Amino acid sequence: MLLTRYDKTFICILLILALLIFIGGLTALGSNKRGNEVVILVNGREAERYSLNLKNPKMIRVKGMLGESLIEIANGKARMLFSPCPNHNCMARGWIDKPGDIIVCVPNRVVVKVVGNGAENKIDVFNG
Amino acid sequence: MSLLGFYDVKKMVILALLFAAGTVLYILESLYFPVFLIPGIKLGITNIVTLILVVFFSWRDCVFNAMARTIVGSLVTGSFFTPAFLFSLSGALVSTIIMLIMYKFFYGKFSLVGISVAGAVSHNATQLFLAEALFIKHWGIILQAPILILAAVMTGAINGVIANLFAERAISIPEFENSLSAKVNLRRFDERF
Repeated sequence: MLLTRYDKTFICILLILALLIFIGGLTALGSNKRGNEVVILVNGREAERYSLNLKNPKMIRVKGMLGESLIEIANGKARMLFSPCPNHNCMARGWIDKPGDIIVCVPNRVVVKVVGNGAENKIDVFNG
Repeated sequence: MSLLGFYDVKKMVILALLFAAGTVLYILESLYFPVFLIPGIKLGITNIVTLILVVFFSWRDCVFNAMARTIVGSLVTGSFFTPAFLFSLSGALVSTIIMLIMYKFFYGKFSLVGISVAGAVSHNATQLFLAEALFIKHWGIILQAPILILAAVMTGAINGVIANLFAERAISIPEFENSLSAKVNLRRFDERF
């Protein structure tokens, strides 16, 4: 017999480990979705930084290239409430709350992004 | 003492043949066997050669052979000094060391199949850890681990069976007994179970 008792035990332990990682990973991923800070960039430079977990809703005015953008933080989420840009694409983006989520207003040069616990997904796709 | 006198020529030739076989398997695998759609999963048939080296040769020969095979193979496939090469090299190094340790201390308890599975899993674990530490920087990549472990168990078992077939036949070839390490290891191979 090629497989010894130790082999079988070893393989069983590995499979159980795989199952545990699968279950644990899925539950952890489900609960830990939200970012905890929002960073506002104007002209590529960091202008403001706020916690997402504020008790009261907060309005932030940011001076961009065209005029003042109005950013709202409420219930652990952030959105572009008003922007002086012509198309209002940034306002159409809606609420963001996950690490790596980003609102970009190109005409007004304002970027709003959510950051997590220092662990952001910097690469979308990796092809080696 | 000349360089050739230091080395047994027969042993050197066998090592060179195994190195060539390993390189060919490496190239075949990375160029012509894109069987699985999930990234990170491959057959790992190069591991057969590593296992044979582990059974018949010293740890120095194993590690050197595995490194040289990865470097030459990646030169041919064009991935030299890319991230893929880094993954390849570190995976090969760690899995070779793990299999050497398992063979030296636990052979008889574990068969070649178990050792092969351990090598495959450690290969994957190394690459996953490197990917997490260097490129992805997000723990979510650990969700790929169950798939990789499942694949490693299956392909590792297949490779172990093939390596075992080879080792059983190679025992009767006198050239394999030429080196000191081979004699020690072969006695161990005969005393199994």
